[in-house]
Amino acid sequence: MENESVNQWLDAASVRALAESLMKPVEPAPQMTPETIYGSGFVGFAEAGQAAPVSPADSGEPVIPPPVVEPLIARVPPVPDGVDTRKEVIIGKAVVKEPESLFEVTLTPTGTGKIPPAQAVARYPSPFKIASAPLAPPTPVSQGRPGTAKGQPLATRLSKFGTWLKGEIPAEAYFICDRNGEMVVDEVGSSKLIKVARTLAHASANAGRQVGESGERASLHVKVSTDRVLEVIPRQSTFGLVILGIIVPRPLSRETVASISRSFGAALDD
Amino acid sequence: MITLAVSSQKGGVGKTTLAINLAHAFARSGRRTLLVDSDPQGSVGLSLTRQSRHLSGFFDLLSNPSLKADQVIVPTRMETFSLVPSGQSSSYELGGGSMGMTLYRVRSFLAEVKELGYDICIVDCAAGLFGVTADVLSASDGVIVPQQAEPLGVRSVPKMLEALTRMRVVNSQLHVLGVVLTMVHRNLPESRESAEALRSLLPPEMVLKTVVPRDDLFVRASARGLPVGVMDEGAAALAVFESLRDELDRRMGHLLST
Repeated sequence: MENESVNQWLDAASVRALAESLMKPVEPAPQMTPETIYGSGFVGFAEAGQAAPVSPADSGEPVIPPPVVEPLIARVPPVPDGVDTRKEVIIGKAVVKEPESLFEVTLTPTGTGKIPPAQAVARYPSPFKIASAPLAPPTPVSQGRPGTAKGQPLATRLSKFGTWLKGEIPAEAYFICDRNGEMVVDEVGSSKLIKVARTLAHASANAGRQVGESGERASLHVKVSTDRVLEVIPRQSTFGLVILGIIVPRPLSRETVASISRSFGAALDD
Repeated sequence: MITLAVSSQKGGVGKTTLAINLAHAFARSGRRTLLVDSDPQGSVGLSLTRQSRHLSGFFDLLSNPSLKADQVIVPTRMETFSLVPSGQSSSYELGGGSMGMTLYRVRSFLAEVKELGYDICIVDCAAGLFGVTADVLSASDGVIVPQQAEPLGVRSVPKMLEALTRMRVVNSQLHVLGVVLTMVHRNLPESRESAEALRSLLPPEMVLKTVVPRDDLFVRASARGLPVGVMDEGAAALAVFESLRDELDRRMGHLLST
């Protein structure tokens, strides 16, 4: 009788399964696979306590050149003239056409397309580092702004913003996504980095709400390899929270972040 | 030291009564026991100390990093039993806890308590598994979940399980020591049926055998600022919580340093 009344309110089998899982020890998280995009020097997601990779030079083994970084996003195959190949992209509630150029960008970490050997031989005592201050003098940013794109489609505005961004700072690659991780621009192709960026952005937004802050914030960045930092710039816009992630050689100064954030906001909301 | 959180998704299920009397039972066994009130409503303090509104406590520790654990611990007449009232939570509530800072301070506080030589720390949490309670659970070794033996209590079980599952993602070392049926009214068919339904719904190893009955004595004990076990008529209640302590001791096994 009592079980019948319980079953009217809940799914007894699923509740039981959930309860049984709680009584078992939590299995250790699966070993993360190396982030091949950044080669063996990538240190951002090693398991806590896991020893950092010992460089081949230190261990006496022959140094193997790091892999060549392949293009992250396939080029769109040629299509007949007059055919609109642009993809529809959703940001918040808006559906926009993304220009083909956004899908043609390739990641070229260096002029040779290879990761510098120094990255592969570095040793780190801590596998995961969040830099608390700029590691080097701030990257200067000019007073320039993205070419005027007011009134143009969002994708065009963001494309111009991206061009401007790379002219202003030594950005290796960047991505833009909304708060749910829906990608608008992705030159990085690393779901883990995107997840980190979203986590940082949400944490920053939550912390800001708790203390009543508004507007621009300090630099949010995570070191992802010996000479690369993921800089995260969250921005509230008419589409809600939109997140810009940039791979740069060193953290950006507060002023640089503020400048980029303003231009990013303008590209989103103009 | 073992840190046990007494926590439930639902309010009014007897968390504070369970925490106070369980802590008393552990203290009676000779273990140095600290009862911490992390409920901003300050139920433990209001139950056991008349000056609780003027005492610094747990929330003062969270908002003031210079405050140390030994500055907020209140001794009782029982040598092995001390408590930390919730304190003046208003300043914490106004400022809020910055991301991760509350958890850091909870862990620092527990580390200090361990240094002070306590064997067991029981934390009475506010209803719900979020905010400060989530931070307490993130820093705890085990959680005990009081569950009211009433129909509404049964219906809230899925939410409680889901919340605990989320907590174990954050704290994989969190042991669910069990669900304790509380406010069991043996003369009320609905209460008996709810208790039976919970036992049939959940795995046997999850529901503790000892149940906490609904008894006016708890109200009278609270009015006098005492654990129910020290009341003149409290022998039966004392036996209930000693039985519960024994059950938990067995479940904690190697976790518990005696």
